[in-house]
Amino acid sequence: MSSHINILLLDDNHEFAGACCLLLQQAGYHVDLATTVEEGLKLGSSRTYQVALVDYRLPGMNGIEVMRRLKKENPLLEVIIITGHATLEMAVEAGRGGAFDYISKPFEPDKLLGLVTQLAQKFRGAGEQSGGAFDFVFDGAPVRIIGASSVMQQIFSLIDKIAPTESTVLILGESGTGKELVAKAIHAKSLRADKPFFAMDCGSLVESLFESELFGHAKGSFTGAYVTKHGAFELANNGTFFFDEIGNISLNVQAKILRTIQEKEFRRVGDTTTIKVDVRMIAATNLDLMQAVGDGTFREDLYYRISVIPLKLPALRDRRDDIPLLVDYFIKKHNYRRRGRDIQSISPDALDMLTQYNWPGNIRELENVIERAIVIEESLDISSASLPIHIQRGSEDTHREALSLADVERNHISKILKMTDRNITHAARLLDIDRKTLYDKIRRYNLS
Amino acid sequence: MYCLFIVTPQNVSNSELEQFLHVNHVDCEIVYDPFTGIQRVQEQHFDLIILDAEACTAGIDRAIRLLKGCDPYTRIIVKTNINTRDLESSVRKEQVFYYHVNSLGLNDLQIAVKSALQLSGTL
Repeated sequence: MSSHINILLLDDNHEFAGACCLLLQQAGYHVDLATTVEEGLKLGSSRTYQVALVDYRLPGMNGIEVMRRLKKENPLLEVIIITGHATLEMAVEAGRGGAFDYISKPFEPDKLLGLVTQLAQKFRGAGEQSGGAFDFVFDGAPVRIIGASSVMQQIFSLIDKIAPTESTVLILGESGTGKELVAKAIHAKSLRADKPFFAMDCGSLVESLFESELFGHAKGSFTGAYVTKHGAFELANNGTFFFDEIGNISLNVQAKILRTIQEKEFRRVGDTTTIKVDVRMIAATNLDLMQAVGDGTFREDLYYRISVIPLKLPALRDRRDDIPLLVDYFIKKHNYRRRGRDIQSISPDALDMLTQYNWPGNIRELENVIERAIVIEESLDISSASLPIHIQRGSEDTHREALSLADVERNHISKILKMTDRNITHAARLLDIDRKTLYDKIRRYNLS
Repeated sequence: MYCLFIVTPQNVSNSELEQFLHVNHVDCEIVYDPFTGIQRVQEQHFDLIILDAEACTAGIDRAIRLLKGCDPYTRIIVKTNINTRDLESSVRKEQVFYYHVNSLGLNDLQIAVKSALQLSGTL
Protein backbone atom coordinates (compact mmCIF):
# COMPACT_ATOMS: atom_id res chain seq x y z
CA MET A 1 0.00 0.00 0.00
CA SER A 2 2.82 2.36 0.76
CA SER A 3 3.74 2.59 -2.91
CA HIS A 4 0.39 4.33 -3.56
CA ILE A 5 1.61 7.40 -1.67
CA ASN A 6 3.46 10.08 -3.61
CA ILE A 7 5.65 12.27 -1.42
CA LEU A 8 7.17 15.63 -2.24
CA LEU A 9 10.27 16.41 -0.19
CA LEU A 10 11.41 20.04 -0.19
CA ASP A 11 14.60 20.88 1.68
CA ASP A 12 17.56 23.00 0.56
CA ASN A 13 20.02 20.87 2.55
CA HIS A 14 21.07 18.39 -0.11
CA GLU A 15 22.69 15.95 2.28
CA PHE A 16 19.74 15.82 4.67
CA ALA A 17 17.19 15.70 1.85
CA GLY A 18 19.06 12.88 0.12
CA ALA A 19 19.12 10.81 3.33
CA CYS A 20 15.37 11.34 3.94
CA CYS A 21 14.61 10.51 0.35
CA LEU A 22 16.52 7.25 0.57
CA LEU A 23 14.84 6.33 3.86
CA LEU A 24 11.33 6.85 2.43
CA GLN A 25 12.14 5.10 -0.85
CA GLN A 26 13.45 2.09 1.04
CA ALA A 27 10.16 2.01 2.92
CA GLY A 28 8.40 1.71 -0.44
CA TYR A 29 7.17 5.26 -0.98
CA HIS A 30 7.52 7.23 -4.19
CA VAL A 31 9.47 10.40 -3.41
CA ASP A 32 10.25 13.45 -5.57
CA LEU A 33 12.99 15.68 -4.22
CA ALA A 34 13.14 19.46 -4.61
CA THR A 35 15.91 21.62 -3.16
CA THR A 36 14.51 25.05 -4.09
CA VAL A 37 11.13 26.66 -3.50
CA GLU A 38 10.62 27.18 -7.24
CA GLU A 39 11.36 23.53 -7.96
CA GLY A 40 9.00 22.40 -5.17
CA LEU A 41 6.11 24.60 -6.28
CA LYS A 42 6.59 23.51 -9.88
CA LEU A 43 6.46 19.83 -8.91
CA GLY A 44 3.43 20.53 -6.70
CA SER A 45 1.52 22.01 -9.60
CA SER A 46 2.51 19.39 -12.13
CA ARG A 47 2.00 16.18 -10.11
CA THR A 48 -0.47 15.02 -7.50
CA TYR A 49 1.08 14.29 -4.13
CA GLN A 50 -0.57 12.95 -1.01
CA VAL A 51 2.17 14.07 1.38
CA ALA A 52 4.72 16.90 1.35
CA LEU A 53 7.66 17.23 3.73
CA VAL A 54 8.67 20.88 3.75
CA ASP A 55 11.60 22.52 5.49
CA TYR A 56 10.57 25.53 7.58
CA ARG A 57 13.58 27.64 6.68
CA LEU A 58 13.92 27.93 2.93
CA PRO A 59 15.69 30.67 0.98
CA GLY A 60 13.15 33.23 -0.25
CA MET A 61 10.05 31.84 1.43
CA ASN A 62 9.28 30.07 4.68
CA GLY A 63 7.86 26.55 4.77
CA ILE A 64 4.43 27.66 5.99
CA GLU A 65 3.93 29.92 2.96
CA VAL A 66 5.15 27.12 0.67
CA MET A 67 2.62 24.82 2.36
CA ARG A 68 -0.19 27.32 1.74
CA ARG A 69 0.69 27.52 -1.94
CA LEU A 70 0.95 23.76 -2.31
CA LYS A 71 -2.40 23.30 -0.56
CA LYS A 72 -4.01 25.86 -2.84
CA GLU A 73 -3.09 23.61 -5.77
CA ASN A 74 -4.09 20.46 -3.90
CA PRO A 75 -6.39 21.06 -0.89
CA LEU A 76 -6.13 17.45 0.32
CA LEU A 77 -2.35 17.45 0.49
CA GLU A 78 -1.01 16.58 3.95
CA VAL A 79 2.08 18.54 4.94
CA ILE A 80 4.69 17.77 7.56
CA ILE A 81 6.91 20.75 8.39
CA ILE A 82 10.56 19.98 9.09
CA THR A 83 12.34 22.42 11.36
CA GLY A 84 15.76 22.84 12.93
CA HIS A 85 14.48 25.01 15.78
CA ALA A 86 10.93 24.21 16.80
CA THR A 87 9.28 27.00 18.74
CA LEU A 88 5.79 27.32 20.10
CA GLU A 89 5.08 30.14 17.64
CA MET A 90 6.19 28.02 14.72
CA ALA A 91 4.08 25.05 15.89
CA VAL A 92 1.00 27.28 16.17
CA GLU A 93 1.67 28.84 12.78
CA ALA A 94 2.09 25.40 11.19
CA GLY A 95 -1.13 24.13 12.76
CA ARG A 96 -3.10 27.18 11.67
CA GLY A 97 -1.71 26.85 8.17
CA GLY A 98 -3.13 23.30 7.99
CA ALA A 99 0.03 21.22 8.60
CA PHE A 100 -0.57 17.61 9.63
CA ASP A 101 2.38 17.77 12.04
CA TYR A 102 5.93 19.05 12.38
CA ILE A 103 9.16 17.25 13.08
CA SER A 104 12.35 18.71 14.58
CA LYS A 105 15.82 18.03 13.22
CA PRO A 106 17.63 15.88 14.07
CA PHE A 107 15.06 13.12 14.28
CA GLU A 108 15.06 9.36 14.48
CA PRO A 109 14.18 7.69 11.14
CA ASP A 110 11.33 5.84 12.89
CA LYS A 111 9.74 9.13 13.90
CA LEU A 112 9.48 10.27 10.27
CA LEU A 113 8.36 6.85 9.04
CA GLY A 114 5.75 6.75 11.81
CA LEU A 115 4.18 10.03 10.68
CA VAL A 116 4.18 9.03 7.02
CA THR A 117 2.72 5.60 7.89
CA GLN A 118 -0.13 7.32 9.76
CA LEU A 119 -0.94 9.31 6.63
CA ALA A 120 -0.65 6.23 4.39
CA GLN A 121 -3.15 4.42 6.63
CA LYS A 122 -5.49 7.39 6.42
CA PHE A 123 -5.46 7.32 2.63
CA ARG A 124 -5.82 3.53 2.56
CA GLY A 125 -8.87 3.79 4.84
CA ALA A 126 -10.51 6.20 2.42
CA GLY A 127 -9.90 3.76 -0.44
CA GLU A 128 -11.42 0.77 1.27
CA GLN A 129 -14.44 2.72 2.35
CA SER A 130 -15.49 3.49 -1.19
CA GLY A 131 -14.52 0.16 -2.71
CA GLY A 132 -12.46 1.75 -5.48
CA ALA A 133 -15.31 3.66 -7.09
CA PHE A 134 -17.39 6.77 -6.70
CA ASP A 135 -21.06 6.23 -7.44
CA PHE A 136 -23.68 8.83 -8.09
CA VAL A 137 -26.96 9.27 -9.91
CA PHE A 138 -27.04 11.71 -12.79
CA ASP A 139 -30.23 12.51 -14.66
CA GLY A 140 -31.84 9.40 -13.18
CA ALA A 141 -29.10 7.00 -14.22
CA PRO A 142 -26.36 5.46 -12.04
CA VAL A 143 -22.85 6.62 -12.89
CA ARG A 144 -19.55 5.30 -11.60
CA ILE A 145 -16.07 6.80 -11.49
CA ILE A 146 -13.41 4.12 -11.09
CA GLY A 147 -10.34 4.70 -8.93
CA ALA A 148 -8.84 2.82 -5.99
CA SER A 149 -5.54 4.72 -6.06
CA SER A 150 -4.99 7.15 -3.23
CA VAL A 151 -4.96 10.08 -5.63
CA MET A 152 -8.45 9.20 -6.87
CA GLN A 153 -9.63 8.60 -3.32
CA GLN A 154 -8.51 12.15 -2.59
CA ILE A 155 -10.51 13.39 -5.57
CA PHE A 156 -13.61 11.50 -4.40
CA SER A 157 -13.24 12.91 -0.92
CA LEU A 158 -12.86 16.41 -2.35
CA ILE A 159 -15.97 16.00 -4.52
CA ASP A 160 -17.96 15.11 -1.40
CA LYS A 161 -16.61 18.16 0.40
CA ILE A 162 -17.08 20.76 -2.32
CA ALA A 163 -20.31 19.53 -3.91
CA PRO A 164 -22.70 20.96 -1.27
CA THR A 165 -21.02 24.38 -1.40
CA GLU A 166 -21.80 27.05 -3.98
CA SER A 167 -18.15 27.58 -4.87
CA THR A 168 -16.92 27.76 -8.41
CA VAL A 169 -14.70 24.81 -9.27
CA LEU A 170 -11.89 24.69 -11.81
CA ILE A 171 -11.16 21.14 -12.94
CA LEU A 172 -7.70 20.72 -14.38
CA GLY A 173 -6.40 17.76 -16.27
CA GLU A 174 -5.34 16.42 -19.62
CA SER A 175 -7.86 15.41 -22.29
CA GLY A 176 -9.58 12.16 -21.45
CA THR A 177 -9.03 12.25 -17.70
CA GLY A 178 -12.77 12.52 -16.95
CA LYS A 179 -13.24 16.23 -16.25
CA GLU A 180 -16.86 16.28 -17.36
CA LEU A 181 -17.66 13.17 -15.34
CA VAL A 182 -16.29 14.87 -12.23
CA ALA A 183 -18.32 18.02 -13.02
CA LYS A 184 -21.43 15.84 -13.22
CA ALA A 185 -20.53 14.18 -9.92
CA ILE A 186 -20.21 17.58 -8.23
CA HIS A 187 -23.61 18.59 -9.60
CA ALA A 188 -25.20 15.27 -8.63
CA LYS A 189 -23.97 15.57 -5.04
CA SER A 190 -24.90 19.25 -4.75
CA LEU A 191 -28.06 20.92 -3.51
CA ARG A 192 -28.81 21.70 -7.17
CA ALA A 193 -28.93 18.02 -8.13
CA ASP A 194 -32.59 18.15 -9.19
CA LYS A 195 -31.99 21.27 -11.31
CA PRO A 196 -30.50 21.41 -14.81
CA PHE A 197 -26.89 20.66 -15.66
CA PHE A 198 -25.69 22.05 -18.95
CA ALA A 199 -22.28 21.60 -20.48
CA MET A 200 -20.69 23.47 -23.35
CA ASP A 201 -17.51 22.74 -25.21
CA CYS A 202 -15.94 26.17 -25.48
CA GLY A 203 -13.53 25.19 -28.22
CA SER A 204 -15.81 23.92 -30.94
CA LEU A 205 -17.79 26.93 -32.19
CA VAL A 206 -16.80 30.31 -33.60
CA GLU A 207 -17.28 33.27 -31.26
CA SER A 208 -20.56 34.60 -32.69
CA LEU A 209 -22.30 31.23 -32.53
CA PHE A 210 -20.84 30.39 -29.13
CA GLU A 211 -22.18 33.65 -27.74
CA SER A 212 -25.64 32.98 -29.09
CA GLU A 213 -25.57 29.40 -27.77
CA LEU A 214 -24.53 30.67 -24.35
CA PHE A 215 -26.59 33.81 -23.90
CA GLY A 216 -29.44 33.21 -26.35
CA HIS A 217 -30.58 35.34 -29.23
CA ALA A 218 -33.41 37.81 -29.58
CA LYS A 219 -34.49 38.98 -32.97
CA GLY A 220 -36.46 42.05 -33.95
CA SER A 221 -36.20 45.66 -32.90
CA PHE A 222 -34.17 46.21 -29.75
CA THR A 223 -37.05 47.47 -27.65
CA GLY A 224 -39.58 44.91 -28.72
CA ALA A 225 -37.23 42.00 -29.42
CA TYR A 226 -38.72 38.53 -29.25
CA VAL A 227 -36.81 35.54 -28.01
CA THR A 228 -35.58 33.31 -30.77
CA LYS A 229 -33.18 31.25 -28.72
CA HIS A 230 -33.11 31.13 -24.91
CA GLY A 231 -29.48 30.08 -24.66
CA ALA A 232 -27.83 27.64 -22.29
CA PHE A 233 -27.29 30.14 -19.45
CA GLU A 234 -30.95 30.97 -19.04
CA LEU A 235 -31.99 27.34 -19.27
CA ALA A 236 -29.44 26.38 -16.60
CA ASN A 237 -31.00 28.78 -14.09
CA ASN A 238 -30.82 27.39 -10.52
CA GLY A 239 -28.63 24.57 -11.81
CA THR A 240 -25.01 24.04 -12.79
CA PHE A 241 -23.17 25.18 -15.88
CA PHE A 242 -20.06 23.39 -17.05
CA PHE A 243 -17.60 25.20 -19.32
CA ASP A 244 -15.40 22.58 -20.93
CA GLU A 245 -12.07 23.89 -22.22
CA ILE A 246 -12.72 27.37 -20.88
CA GLY A 247 -9.25 28.45 -21.98
CA ASN A 248 -10.49 28.52 -25.58
CA ILE A 249 -13.03 31.29 -25.01
CA SER A 250 -12.35 34.65 -26.68
CA LEU A 251 -11.56 37.68 -24.50
CA ASN A 252 -14.81 39.32 -25.57
CA VAL A 253 -16.95 36.40 -24.37
CA GLN A 254 -14.76 36.05 -21.25
CA ALA A 255 -15.78 39.61 -20.29
CA LYS A 256 -19.45 38.71 -20.69
CA ILE A 257 -19.09 35.56 -18.64
CA LEU A 258 -17.29 37.47 -15.90
CA ARG A 259 -20.12 40.01 -15.80
CA THR A 260 -22.65 37.18 -15.57
CA ILE A 261 -20.77 35.63 -12.64
CA GLN A 262 -20.38 38.94 -10.83
CA GLU A 263 -23.76 40.52 -11.50
CA LYS A 264 -25.76 37.30 -11.81
CA GLU A 265 -27.40 38.71 -14.91
CA PHE A 266 -26.79 38.84 -18.64
CA ARG A 267 -28.29 40.03 -21.92
CA ARG A 268 -29.23 37.98 -24.90
CA VAL A 269 -27.54 38.72 -28.20
CA GLY A 270 -29.62 41.41 -29.89
CA ASP A 271 -31.51 42.41 -26.77
CA THR A 272 -31.15 45.15 -24.16
CA THR A 273 -33.17 43.49 -21.41
CA THR A 274 -31.15 41.97 -18.57
CA ILE A 275 -32.03 38.51 -17.34
CA LYS A 276 -31.33 37.42 -13.78
CA VAL A 277 -29.71 34.04 -13.44
CA ASP A 278 -28.48 31.90 -10.55
CA VAL A 279 -26.03 29.35 -11.88
CA ARG A 280 -23.18 27.49 -10.22
CA MET A 281 -20.20 27.42 -12.52
CA ILE A 282 -17.75 24.60 -13.01
CA ALA A 283 -15.00 25.09 -15.55
CA ALA A 284 -12.41 22.75 -16.96
CA THR A 285 -9.27 23.11 -18.97
CA ASN A 286 -6.23 21.19 -20.07
CA LEU A 287 -4.29 24.43 -20.54
CA ASP A 288 -2.10 26.28 -18.08
CA LEU A 289 -4.50 29.17 -17.44
CA MET A 290 -1.93 31.14 -15.45
CA GLN A 291 0.31 30.97 -18.48
CA ALA A 292 -2.65 32.13 -20.62
CA VAL A 293 -3.14 35.04 -18.20
CA GLY A 294 0.54 35.90 -18.65
CA ASP A 295 0.17 35.68 -22.44
CA GLY A 296 -2.83 38.00 -22.33
CA THR A 297 -5.24 35.43 -23.78
CA PHE A 298 -7.15 34.84 -20.55
CA ARG A 299 -8.50 37.48 -18.19
CA GLU A 300 -6.84 37.49 -14.80
CA ASP A 301 -10.04 38.55 -13.00
CA LEU A 302 -11.97 35.70 -14.60
CA TYR A 303 -9.19 33.26 -13.68
CA TYR A 304 -9.44 34.17 -10.00
CA ARG A 305 -13.24 34.03 -10.18
CA ILE A 306 -13.36 30.50 -11.56
CA SER A 307 -10.42 29.00 -9.68
CA VAL A 308 -11.88 29.29 -6.18
CA ILE A 309 -11.47 25.52 -5.78
CA PRO A 310 -8.98 23.93 -8.16
CA LEU A 311 -9.34 20.20 -8.61
CA LYS A 312 -6.57 18.50 -10.52
CA LEU A 313 -7.29 15.16 -12.15
CA PRO A 314 -4.26 12.92 -12.57
CA ALA A 315 -3.18 11.58 -15.93
CA LEU A 316 -3.74 7.85 -16.25
CA ARG A 317 0.02 7.25 -16.31
CA ASP A 318 0.14 8.80 -12.82
CA ARG A 319 -2.30 6.23 -11.46
CA ARG A 320 -1.30 3.05 -13.19
CA ASP A 321 -2.55 1.05 -10.22
CA ASP A 322 -6.09 1.79 -11.44
CA ILE A 323 -5.56 0.36 -14.92
CA PRO A 324 -6.58 -3.26 -14.04
CA LEU A 325 -9.78 -1.98 -12.40
CA LEU A 326 -10.57 0.26 -15.37
CA VAL A 327 -9.90 -2.58 -17.82
CA ASP A 328 -12.27 -4.83 -15.92
CA TYR A 329 -14.91 -2.08 -15.85
CA PHE A 330 -14.65 -1.40 -19.61
CA ILE A 331 -14.77 -5.11 -20.44
CA LYS A 332 -18.07 -5.38 -18.58
CA LYS A 333 -19.33 -2.17 -20.16
CA HIS A 334 -18.60 -3.16 -23.76
CA ASN A 335 -19.15 -6.92 -23.60
CA TYR A 336 -22.58 -6.50 -25.20
CA ARG A 337 -20.78 -5.99 -28.51
CA ARG A 338 -19.80 -9.68 -28.44
CA ARG A 339 -23.43 -10.77 -28.72
CA GLY A 340 -23.33 -13.55 -26.16
CA ARG A 341 -19.67 -14.64 -26.22
CA ASP A 342 -18.58 -12.46 -23.32
CA ILE A 343 -14.92 -11.69 -22.73
CA GLN A 344 -13.99 -13.22 -19.38
CA SER A 345 -10.66 -11.58 -18.69
CA ILE A 346 -7.42 -10.20 -20.08
CA SER A 347 -4.16 -12.11 -20.41
CA PRO A 348 -1.34 -11.14 -18.02
CA ASP A 349 0.97 -10.00 -20.83
CA ALA A 350 -1.75 -7.84 -22.40
CA LEU A 351 -2.49 -6.26 -19.02
CA ASP A 352 1.22 -5.70 -18.54
CA MET A 353 1.41 -3.84 -21.86
CA LEU A 354 -1.57 -1.68 -20.90
CA THR A 355 -0.01 -0.90 -17.54
CA GLN A 356 3.30 0.14 -19.08
CA TYR A 357 1.88 2.26 -21.92
CA ASN A 358 1.91 6.02 -21.35
CA TRP A 359 -1.71 6.80 -22.34
CA PRO A 360 -1.50 10.27 -23.87
CA GLY A 361 -5.28 10.09 -24.43
CA ASN A 362 -5.82 8.88 -20.86
CA ILE A 363 -8.97 6.96 -19.85
CA ARG A 364 -10.81 7.78 -23.07
CA GLU A 365 -7.98 6.14 -25.02
CA LEU A 366 -7.98 3.11 -22.70
CA GLU A 367 -11.73 2.67 -23.17
CA ASN A 368 -11.35 2.83 -26.96
CA VAL A 369 -8.55 0.25 -26.85
CA ILE A 370 -10.64 -2.15 -24.74
CA GLU A 371 -13.74 -1.64 -26.88
CA ARG A 372 -11.72 -2.40 -30.01
CA ALA A 373 -10.06 -5.43 -28.41
CA ILE A 374 -13.45 -6.84 -27.38
CA VAL A 375 -14.66 -6.64 -30.96
CA ILE A 376 -11.62 -8.23 -32.61
CA GLU A 377 -10.61 -10.80 -29.97
CA GLU A 378 -11.56 -14.33 -31.03
CA SER A 379 -10.99 -16.09 -27.73
CA LEU A 380 -12.65 -15.37 -24.39
CA ASP A 381 -9.61 -13.54 -22.97
CA ILE A 382 -8.17 -10.35 -24.44
CA SER A 383 -4.71 -11.25 -25.71
CA SER A 384 -1.82 -8.90 -26.47
CA ALA A 385 -2.39 -9.53 -30.21
CA SER A 386 -5.74 -7.74 -29.93
CA LEU A 387 -4.11 -4.56 -28.69
CA PRO A 388 -3.10 -1.80 -31.13
CA ILE A 389 0.38 -2.24 -32.50
CA HIS A 390 1.65 1.04 -31.00
CA ILE A 391 0.78 -0.24 -27.52
CA GLN A 392 2.57 -3.51 -28.17
CA ARG A 393 5.58 -1.54 -29.46
CA GLY A 394 5.26 0.99 -26.66
CA SER A 395 5.75 -1.83 -24.23
CA GLU A 396 8.92 -2.92 -26.07
CA ASP A 397 10.18 0.70 -26.09
CA THR A 398 9.61 0.99 -22.36
CA HIS A 399 11.79 -2.04 -21.82
CA ARG A 400 14.45 -0.78 -24.20
CA GLU A 401 14.96 2.80 -23.06
CA ALA A 402 13.63 5.00 -20.30
CA LEU A 403 12.30 8.04 -22.15
CA SER A 404 11.03 11.05 -20.26
CA LEU A 405 7.34 11.85 -20.54
CA ALA A 406 8.14 14.98 -22.53
CA ASP A 407 10.23 12.92 -24.99
CA VAL A 408 7.41 10.44 -25.48
CA GLU A 409 4.92 13.24 -26.07
CA ARG A 410 7.25 15.04 -28.47
CA ASN A 411 7.93 11.86 -30.46
CA HIS A 412 4.26 10.99 -30.65
CA ILE A 413 3.19 14.46 -31.81
CA SER A 414 5.97 14.49 -34.37
CA LYS A 415 4.81 11.10 -35.69
CA ILE A 416 1.18 12.20 -35.94
CA LEU A 417 2.15 15.44 -37.71
CA LYS A 418 4.08 13.43 -40.29
CA MET A 419 1.21 10.98 -40.66
CA THR A 420 -1.25 13.80 -41.35
CA ASP A 421 1.03 15.85 -43.60
CA ARG A 422 0.95 18.50 -40.90
CA ASN A 423 -2.82 18.98 -41.17
CA ILE A 424 -3.27 20.56 -37.74
CA THR A 425 -6.99 19.89 -37.51
CA HIS A 426 -6.59 16.25 -38.42
CA ALA A 427 -3.57 15.81 -36.15
CA ALA A 428 -5.34 17.47 -33.21
CA ARG A 429 -8.29 15.16 -33.72
CA LEU A 430 -6.11 12.04 -33.75
CA LEU A 431 -4.33 13.25 -30.63
CA ASP A 432 -7.68 14.07 -29.04
CA ILE A 433 -6.65 17.59 -28.12
CA ASP A 434 -7.83 20.93 -29.48
CA ARG A 435 -5.91 22.81 -32.12
CA LYS A 436 -4.78 25.56 -29.74
CA THR A 437 -3.22 22.98 -27.43
CA LEU A 438 -1.52 21.34 -30.39
CA TYR A 439 -0.07 24.68 -31.53
CA ASP A 440 1.20 25.26 -27.98
CA LYS A 441 2.88 21.86 -27.93
CA ILE A 442 4.38 22.35 -31.41
CA ARG A 443 5.89 25.61 -30.18
CA ARG A 444 7.07 24.11 -26.88
CA TYR A 445 8.73 21.12 -28.54
CA ASN A 446 10.10 23.17 -31.41
CA LEU A 447 8.32 21.05 -34.02
CA SER A 448 7.37 23.89 -36.38
CA MET B 1 -16.90 14.57 -44.79
CA TYR B 2 -19.96 12.42 -44.74
CA CYS B 3 -23.14 13.98 -43.45
CA LEU B 4 -26.44 12.38 -42.56
CA PHE B 5 -29.39 14.67 -42.90
CA ILE B 6 -32.51 13.58 -41.06
CA VAL B 7 -35.53 15.60 -42.15
CA THR B 8 -39.29 15.33 -42.43
CA PRO B 9 -40.68 14.49 -45.88
CA GLN B 10 -42.82 17.62 -45.77
CA ASN B 11 -39.92 19.93 -45.10
CA VAL B 12 -39.18 21.73 -48.33
CA SER B 13 -36.91 24.49 -47.06
CA ASN B 14 -33.64 22.52 -47.10
CA SER B 15 -32.60 22.96 -50.69
CA GLU B 16 -30.31 25.91 -49.90
CA LEU B 17 -28.59 23.96 -47.15
CA GLU B 18 -28.23 20.89 -49.37
CA GLN B 19 -26.69 23.13 -52.04
CA PHE B 20 -24.29 24.56 -49.43
CA LEU B 21 -23.24 21.07 -48.34
CA HIS B 22 -22.71 20.09 -51.97
CA VAL B 23 -20.60 23.17 -52.72
CA ASN B 24 -18.44 22.41 -49.67
CA HIS B 25 -17.82 18.85 -50.89
CA VAL B 26 -19.85 17.26 -48.14
CA ASP B 27 -21.26 13.91 -49.19
CA CYS B 28 -24.77 14.00 -47.90
CA GLU B 29 -27.31 11.29 -47.33
CA ILE B 30 -30.90 12.21 -46.57
CA VAL B 31 -33.34 10.09 -44.61
CA TYR B 32 -36.84 11.02 -43.58
CA ASP B 33 -37.22 9.67 -40.07
CA PRO B 34 -34.88 9.23 -37.10
CA PHE B 35 -35.25 5.45 -36.94
CA THR B 36 -33.85 5.01 -40.42
CA GLY B 37 -31.15 7.47 -39.36
CA ILE B 38 -30.27 5.37 -36.33
CA GLN B 39 -30.02 2.25 -38.51
CA ARG B 40 -27.63 4.07 -40.85
CA VAL B 41 -25.50 5.33 -37.95
CA GLN B 42 -25.20 1.75 -36.69
CA GLU B 43 -23.85 0.77 -40.09
CA GLN B 44 -21.31 3.53 -40.62
CA HIS B 45 -19.72 6.66 -39.16
CA PHE B 46 -21.05 10.06 -40.20
CA ASP B 47 -18.94 13.11 -39.33
CA LEU B 48 -22.03 15.24 -38.93
CA ILE B 49 -25.72 14.64 -38.44
CA ILE B 50 -28.18 17.45 -39.07
CA LEU B 51 -31.33 16.52 -37.27
CA ASP B 52 -34.58 18.28 -37.99
CA ALA B 53 -36.51 18.56 -34.70
CA GLU B 54 -39.80 18.30 -36.58
CA ALA B 55 -38.77 14.83 -37.78
CA CYS B 56 -38.52 13.52 -34.23
CA THR B 57 -42.13 12.92 -33.31
CA ALA B 58 -41.14 10.35 -30.65
CA GLY B 59 -38.96 12.84 -28.73
CA ILE B 60 -35.90 14.76 -29.82
CA ASP B 61 -33.88 13.88 -26.69
CA ARG B 62 -34.47 10.18 -27.22
CA ALA B 63 -33.43 10.44 -30.87
CA ILE B 64 -30.21 12.27 -29.95
CA ARG B 65 -29.41 9.74 -27.19
CA LEU B 66 -29.89 6.82 -29.56
CA LEU B 67 -27.80 8.43 -32.30
CA LYS B 68 -25.02 9.21 -29.81
CA GLY B 69 -25.30 5.72 -28.35
CA CYS B 70 -24.63 4.27 -31.81
CA ASP B 71 -21.75 6.65 -32.51
CA PRO B 72 -20.45 8.78 -29.62
CA TYR B 73 -18.01 10.58 -31.91
CA THR B 74 -20.48 12.04 -34.37
CA ARG B 75 -21.41 15.73 -34.16
CA ILE B 76 -25.07 16.60 -34.14
CA ILE B 77 -26.67 19.86 -35.21
CA VAL B 78 -30.36 20.19 -34.37
CA LYS B 79 -32.46 22.59 -36.41
CA THR B 80 -36.02 23.61 -35.79
CA ASN B 81 -38.67 25.86 -37.27
CA ILE B 82 -40.40 26.55 -33.97
CA ASN B 83 -38.47 26.95 -30.73
CA THR B 84 -39.89 26.43 -27.28
CA ARG B 85 -38.17 26.55 -23.92
CA ASP B 86 -38.84 22.84 -23.35
CA LEU B 87 -37.55 21.82 -26.76
CA GLU B 88 -34.37 23.88 -26.40
CA SER B 89 -33.83 22.59 -22.88
CA SER B 90 -34.20 18.94 -23.85
CA VAL B 91 -31.85 19.37 -26.82
CA ARG B 92 -29.21 21.18 -24.75
CA LYS B 93 -29.28 18.51 -22.07
CA GLU B 94 -28.07 16.06 -24.70
CA GLN B 95 -25.10 18.29 -25.55
CA VAL B 96 -25.41 18.67 -29.29
CA PHE B 97 -22.80 20.49 -31.36
CA TYR B 98 -25.16 23.35 -32.26
CA TYR B 99 -28.81 24.22 -31.82
CA HIS B 100 -30.27 26.22 -34.68
CA VAL B 101 -33.55 28.05 -34.96
CA ASN B 102 -34.38 28.49 -38.64
CA SER B 103 -35.67 32.04 -38.22
CA LEU B 104 -32.12 33.12 -37.31
CA GLY B 105 -31.25 32.57 -40.95
CA LEU B 106 -29.26 30.08 -42.93
CA ASN B 107 -25.99 31.92 -42.38
CA ASP B 108 -25.63 30.81 -38.74
CA LEU B 109 -26.34 27.21 -39.69
CA GLN B 110 -23.78 27.38 -42.47
CA ILE B 111 -21.18 28.73 -40.03
CA ALA B 112 -21.95 25.86 -37.65
CA VAL B 113 -21.58 23.31 -40.46
CA LYS B 114 -18.29 24.97 -41.45
CA SER B 115 -17.07 24.71 -37.85
CA ALA B 116 -17.89 21.00 -37.94
CA LEU B 117 -16.09 20.69 -41.27
CA GLN B 118 -13.03 22.36 -39.79
CA LEU B 119 -13.03 20.10 -36.75
CA SER B 120 -13.31 17.02 -38.93
CA GLY B 121 -10.31 18.22 -40.94
CA THR B 122 -12.26 18.70 -44.18
CA LEU B 123 -11.63 22.46 -44.35
